[in-house]
Order: sequence, then C-alpha cells, then structure tokens
Amino acid sequence: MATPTTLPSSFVSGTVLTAAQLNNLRGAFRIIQVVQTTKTDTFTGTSTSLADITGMSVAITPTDSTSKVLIVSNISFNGNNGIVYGIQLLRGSTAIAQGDTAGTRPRRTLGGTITAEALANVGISWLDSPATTSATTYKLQYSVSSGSFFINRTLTDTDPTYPRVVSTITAFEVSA
Amino acid sequence: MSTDYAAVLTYRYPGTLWSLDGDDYKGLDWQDEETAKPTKAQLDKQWPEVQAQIALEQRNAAMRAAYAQYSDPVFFQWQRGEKTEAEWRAAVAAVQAQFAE
Repeated sequence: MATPTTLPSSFVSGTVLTAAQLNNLRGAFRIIQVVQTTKTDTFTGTSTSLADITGMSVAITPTDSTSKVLIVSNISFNGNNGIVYGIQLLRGSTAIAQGDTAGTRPRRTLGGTITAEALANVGISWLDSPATTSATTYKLQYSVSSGSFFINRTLTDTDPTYPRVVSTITAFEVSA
Repeated sequence: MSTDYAAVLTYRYPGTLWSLDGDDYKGLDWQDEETAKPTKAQLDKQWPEVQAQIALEQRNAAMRAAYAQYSDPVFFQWQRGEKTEAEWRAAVAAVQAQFAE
C-alpha cells in the first residue's frame, strides 16, 4: 500500500477519487487497527523455564500480509529479593525480540534482578512483520532463577499500603 | 485479611513448581511432581504464621533503614572526632526505642 505523507493537489472538494487514489489515501492512515488486552488481576508463578503469564496475550488479524504489527506492552511485577527474571515476547509459539546469543545465558526480551518490595514497571515495544492475514497471537512468558514472580502486585501485599496495578499488551496493525 | 495464597506458597513451599491466577485458591495450578498439592485448609492454617513472618521482615527492614539514616552517620562522625561515643550510643538507643515491641 502506498503511503503519501501529503494529499495530492488533485484531491479537491467534489473530486471522485480513483481506486488507486483511494488506496493511497488509505495508506496515509498508518494505524489500521488496535487490539488491547488489559490484565487487572494478579498472577504468580515459580517456573525456572519460560511459562505463560495468564492474561498477557493479544490476538490480531492483519488486514494485509505486508502490514507490520507494533506490540507495546507495560508489565508490572515483583518477586523474591535478588532473584533473576526474564520476560519473553512470542508470536504464536515463536520467540521474537531476543538478545544475541552469549554463552549459555538465556536469550530474553528483557530481564534483570528483582528488588524486594520495589514494584517494577517495564515496557516493551517491538515492530514485527508477521507476513500473514491469519489471526496471530502475541503473548508474554516469564522465567525466574528461583522463588516467585508476581504480576500486578508485590510479594509483600498488605493493606493499605501496597498497590495493586495493571499490565497491558497492545497490538497495532501498521500499514507497510 | 484473607489468606494470601501466593505468599503462603512462596514462604512455605520454596522450590516447588506452581502458578496462581488471581488471589483465590481455585486459581492454583500445581505442577510440582515431588510435593503434593497443599489443600486450601492447609494453606489457610499457615497464613497467620506467614503473616507474622512478613510483618517481622517489614519491621526489620524498617529498622535497618532507620539505623542507616539516623545512627550510622553519627558513628562515622564519632570516628572522625566530630561526635562522641555517647552521642552514637544515644542515636542507636533512639532507633531501638522507636521499634521496641
């Protein structure tokens, strides 16, 4: 799909546009569709290998195989102090958005060390090229070195101080 | 406060494999092959002890922070000759009094 940045001067009031012109015009609207999943409840897991985070997935059906899909996610989490976590973005069952291979270190979309009672809020943005018009699911998985991994809460989770929060994953279809 | 199943499992069943959707026991997916899935009643029974442990950990963390903020600086001032040992001990005692049971 063509993507003009300005409308042609021939596009004046009363003009009947051709199919090609309409297509160009459509191309100007780069965001074709938006689908979002919000997770407002909690999830806790102890897996040391990648495992699904319930509720952190989004399905989108691209209208054109040349479209790109922009995934934007915000995840809030906590866990046992000092454990190492990893979060992985997948398209279907295929891991996408990974760091380069380095020894036997796990390749992940993001990761780090958890600090007790410090609710981490991290973001992911990844522009994918699924090359399909079939329904496509993007999801997040987690792993921890030990202990527990908490989504949308802290390990210490008592009234009235510790907040319950929200995590999101959003898919934008972007015209090529 | 109702049982925090995730906290009980984290404190009392370390090293086991499970996941919990939401806060309720019904969301517990027990995947560990070596340890039997604890019952709701077992976890409910352990919650008061875990709650006390969490409270103690919070108190100890707050106390460590108070020492670092109030008495540790006085200790180093004493080492530099800017304060007396008695002033440092008084600062320590003040922190201890703040967290006295």
